[in-house]
Amino acid sequence: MDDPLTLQALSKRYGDGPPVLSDLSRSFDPGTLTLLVGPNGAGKTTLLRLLAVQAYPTSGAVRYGEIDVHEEPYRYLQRVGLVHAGPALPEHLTAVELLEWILRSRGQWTDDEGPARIGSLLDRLRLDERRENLIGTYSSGMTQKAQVAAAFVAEPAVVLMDEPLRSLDTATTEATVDLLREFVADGGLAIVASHLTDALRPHADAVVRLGEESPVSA
Amino acid sequence: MAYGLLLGVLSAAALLLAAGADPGTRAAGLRLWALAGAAAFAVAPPNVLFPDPNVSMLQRLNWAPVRLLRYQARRLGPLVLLLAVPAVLVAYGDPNGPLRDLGTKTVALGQGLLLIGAAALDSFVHFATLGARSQAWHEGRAGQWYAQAVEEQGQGVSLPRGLVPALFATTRCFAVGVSVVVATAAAAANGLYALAWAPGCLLLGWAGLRLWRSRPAYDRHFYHTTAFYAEVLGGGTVAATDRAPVPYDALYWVPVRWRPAVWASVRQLDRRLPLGRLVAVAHLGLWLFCVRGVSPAFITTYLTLIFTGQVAACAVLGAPSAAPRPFQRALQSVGDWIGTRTFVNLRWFGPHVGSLALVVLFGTTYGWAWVGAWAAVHLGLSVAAATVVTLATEGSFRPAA
Repeated sequence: MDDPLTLQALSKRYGDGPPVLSDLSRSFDPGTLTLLVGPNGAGKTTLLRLLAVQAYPTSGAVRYGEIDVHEEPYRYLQRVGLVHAGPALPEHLTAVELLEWILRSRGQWTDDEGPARIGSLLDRLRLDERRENLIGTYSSGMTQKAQVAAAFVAEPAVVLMDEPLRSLDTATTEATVDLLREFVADGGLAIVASHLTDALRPHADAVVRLGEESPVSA
Repeated sequence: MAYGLLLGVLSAAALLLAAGADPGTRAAGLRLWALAGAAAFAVAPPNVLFPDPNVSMLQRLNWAPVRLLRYQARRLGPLVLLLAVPAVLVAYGDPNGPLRDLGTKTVALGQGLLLIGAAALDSFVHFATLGARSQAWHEGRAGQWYAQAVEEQGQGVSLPRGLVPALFATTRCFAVGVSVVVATAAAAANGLYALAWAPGCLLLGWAGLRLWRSRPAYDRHFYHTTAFYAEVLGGGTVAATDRAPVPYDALYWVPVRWRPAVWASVRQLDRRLPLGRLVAVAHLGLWLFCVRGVSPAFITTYLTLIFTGQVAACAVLGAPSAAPRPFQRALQSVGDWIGTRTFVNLRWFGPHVGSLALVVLFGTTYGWAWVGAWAAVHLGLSVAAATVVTLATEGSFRPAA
């Protein structure tokens, strides 16, 4: 867990419209939590989509250590946990089955430790006995908990989160912030876009304000 | 269900058209069917494959490049089946002598399947690796010659610029597919039976080689092409078209209860699919066939395909991006959505009936009862397609716990 994520003169525009992000250069270091803030349309989701390889830059590059993330998405995503803006989870699986699938698919499943690892994560996120129910029956808050769990279950080095606290109750918000705090303390690299910054700001190492003349770090 | 219906219709048409045909006619029919396959594969892959609705889940699972490749190839499988099953029926569907000329029929089928498979693989490789080029066009980093030509001549296709490479790809894949079929037919017509296999084998080999080369970096192709199509077709960055949207008052013929939802649906559909142009081209084809005096059985099959294809287009309105389930259910009941989509489908009822009426007026083969029967078929198909799509979307939605 010691590679930085580096933006190299990153620009993105949609079609021939004005650039949403322009010539953005900076480094996100391991062991840090960075908050992306800004008004609607400032480019928070666009930046996260670029970091998550769900969008490709108009120019510039994103590097994770030696990897150009848009050239080698598979290698990069091995180290990444994601919380997307929309739920986009399979409705006909339970949360437990979803996490097991992720672990098996990433070659991290063991019959001895797998169930305990999932159980402990879902306990921390307070996803109760309904974790064995189908995700399609979940409330938006429960779906969000399953998303957060899916991001952390494979023990990534980088987590990218778009509005992870949306729809969460107070207790789960605190649990998610605790999870992030521990992840960062263990050397993880977290980048979070959120309008609900009160809970996260005390733990943030940097705040990047988008939508201004040039991105500002605080 | 809609897929099964289409497969059933195509299979029935294949059996009907091939009944009693000799092996030579079957071989010619299979080559004609391969032409239809070339057309289908020139158009379908980007619509079937991109943007991939499961991309977020695939990132969580982080499948290896080769597995992503297999996953996408499998998604094209139903289309391949849609062309392969009727081909098998054209070859072997012979109630008078199922085992007669078995060898000749098998060779013809093999050649037909080779042509269909080669066209499928060629267009799959081409479209699956198009993302980087399409994005460069979309952002004005490539295709300046096209932009300049449009600016100077004031002409161009009414598509976002990023989709122009896909349009070229469609033309290119169709041209390649047709050339290979024509070369095969020419070799067969000149008695060069062994050589008739060469064009299909060459295309298959060439496409296979390209696929093999792109295999190690298929994750990049997959994510880039998906990202591009997500940008250009959805995800909040939908490009506007220059087609005038349908005015509300133009839908005066729709019951007031459903008119607002029909209006919103038609506007969405028009922005995703140039259905009017496709219907017009299809009817031009119908008139051409009628002028040439083709058999009524062929016309029946052709009209069934046109009507089924047109009403099946309402499936576009069932995609989550067009029909967010909770929103849709909050607006109307499932029954109302069936009514809405039925009227969306019936939008082309008038043009269909008008076109058939012209056939009756300028020909002697068909009468007004024929027009009435097809009007009833269209009505039935409109209701059926609307019901299927709605039950699969709003009908399957369960409110959150």
